[in-house]
Amino acid sequence: MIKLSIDGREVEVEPGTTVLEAAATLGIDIPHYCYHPDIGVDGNCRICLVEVNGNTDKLAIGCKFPCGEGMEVETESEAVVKARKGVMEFLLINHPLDCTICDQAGECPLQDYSYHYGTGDSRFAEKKRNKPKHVEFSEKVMFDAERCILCTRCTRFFEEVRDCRPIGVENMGGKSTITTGPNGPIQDPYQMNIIDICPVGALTSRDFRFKQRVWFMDFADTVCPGCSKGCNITAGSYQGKLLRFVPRRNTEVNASWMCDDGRLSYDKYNMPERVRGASVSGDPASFDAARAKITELVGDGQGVAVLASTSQTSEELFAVREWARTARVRDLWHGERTWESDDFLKQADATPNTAGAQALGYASVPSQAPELRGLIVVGDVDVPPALLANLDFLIQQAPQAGELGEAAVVLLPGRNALEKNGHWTNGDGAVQEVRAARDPGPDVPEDWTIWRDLAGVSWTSIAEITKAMGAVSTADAEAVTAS
Amino acid sequence: MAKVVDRRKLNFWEELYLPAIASGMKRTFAQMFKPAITLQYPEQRPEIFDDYRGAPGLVRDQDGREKCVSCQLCEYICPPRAIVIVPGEAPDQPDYDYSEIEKAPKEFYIDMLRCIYCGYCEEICPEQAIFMTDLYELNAGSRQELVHDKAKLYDVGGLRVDAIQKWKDKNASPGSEERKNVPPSGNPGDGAH
Repeated sequence: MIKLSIDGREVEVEPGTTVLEAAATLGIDIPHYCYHPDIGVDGNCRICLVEVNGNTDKLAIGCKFPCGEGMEVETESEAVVKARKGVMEFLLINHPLDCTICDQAGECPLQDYSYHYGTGDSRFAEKKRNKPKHVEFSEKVMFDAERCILCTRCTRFFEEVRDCRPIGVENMGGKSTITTGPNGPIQDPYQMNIIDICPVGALTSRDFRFKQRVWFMDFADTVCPGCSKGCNITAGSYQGKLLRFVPRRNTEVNASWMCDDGRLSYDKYNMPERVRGASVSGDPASFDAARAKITELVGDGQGVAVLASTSQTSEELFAVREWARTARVRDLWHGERTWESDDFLKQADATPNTAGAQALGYASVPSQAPELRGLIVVGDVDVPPALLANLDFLIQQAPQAGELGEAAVVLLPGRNALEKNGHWTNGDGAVQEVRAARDPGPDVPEDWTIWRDLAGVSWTSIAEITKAMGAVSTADAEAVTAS
Repeated sequence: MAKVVDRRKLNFWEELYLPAIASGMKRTFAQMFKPAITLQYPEQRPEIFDDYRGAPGLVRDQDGREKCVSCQLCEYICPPRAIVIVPGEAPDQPDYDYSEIEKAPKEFYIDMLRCIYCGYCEEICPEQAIFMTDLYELNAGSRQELVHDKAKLYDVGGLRVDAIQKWKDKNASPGSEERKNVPPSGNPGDGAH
């Protein structure tokens, strides 16, 4: 371990740690553009300059300078601030004053640092350089060469993370610009990550472009429901309408990345048409009437099975299981949905909580399904047609009824994957917290409350279920399915 | 407990009331020979001062182009939250020298029932696209009519010739042709240098 001091504060770090990383452990933010924790060091932007051991003649770049024993680092000394002001002046010489129409405004480090180190006016009397302003890099990414500060995070993302080179730097000096290669538009299925890592508004999402200013939006830190990887995301919405998913850094799961398919899947969770309120035999009914009907239909639970979606949170599945126990329903199955996986993040299992469902004792639908009297469908799930033959009754609790809705004797509303709170367990066994990113509106209670009321349990919050779930071991879950 | 007010006893002349009526009449008739300070509205109109703050309106520039780029700063600053903008991509208009502007409002609403005529929107606008106009007569048959939409706001604002015509200069600047001739997709470097 190496001991050094940063801004007079002692810190101990592993050998090989850079000054910028060491400062981050102390909560000191050293400005940076070209450095990104998941694509490594380049050292071209020069904004992260720090003063080491009082050497003001030659400042060191914090992103690449390794920590040394007994080193004394100053991150906000007079010389450092002067140097950063110089760097900012150079960067802003040719940067257009586009903030008013730039999607990056509000979450732009160039904007933030120009508040700290910018001069407010310009000494540059010449004409700003002119470059192409709306270049389509692909059907998903738009490029603005004037805004680009040539930090090359985007080209290094493709080289280091994706092992391909669809874009590169063309020309020299003031004419340098990022350009697509001879193979034309970018094809990579992870290309939209360059939009997030671009520190300025040079790369913008053609999907989110001009939709809303970020300061008007609401954000929720949650998990992508697209597959069993469970990439951490921040879901952005405006007035209850989801507008974008952006990856959230989690080095254990997805680093700073997510796939484009997951990213662009936000709109299907807006669900303008959905199940609201309970209905019995196609007619609107009160929840009490629906509950009475379910109790009557299920009876002693013989020949009845539950088929639950693995997009439900573990808490919701636990509540369903609790009801199944009281109603003596023995067969707990989970649905399956797959899509094409790839070698990076995308998993074949296209639901987020299969592992959680299995831990709670839900099993795959057996290939030789037993003779069923009734089926209870929970959540957004694909029902194998074989299960639907010879059914006396079908009960559905889901955000959208789909084709099953007409056949359902009792139809109950449900929340979709972006409206839930609770936990999902991803394919690698990581239990991750899910937070609601939008409110579904009236007559859509949280799923767990429906099953709580049916089971007659007295939980008052999700947290209570999470606690109860911890108390009931997996062994009990096995006992439920085996009995 | 009720308070008893001691009233002064009136003297003889005061009890007659006639002197008081005479003094009132004197004032009344004196007013008839002074110039009137009220206006015969609507036939007569008040004088509107230069910095009068009437209903806000959107303006077009000297060539009839939309100036607003829907940056939504007015929506942000508006104290009563009367402004709602739906931003969008600027329509492609090849006959216009317009390719510089990428963003334009798809819709622009100002709820005149909420507007407090503070003028912050005009003050904050970086494009000088919204102005407080002389319009002070706002009447409608329904509340909905008083939510001015984009067409109505351009109607209110009209055309404005500014001293600074920045797109005019920018379109004549070196390199502007290069910027306009960027191929829609593919290699941006091909035509640029």
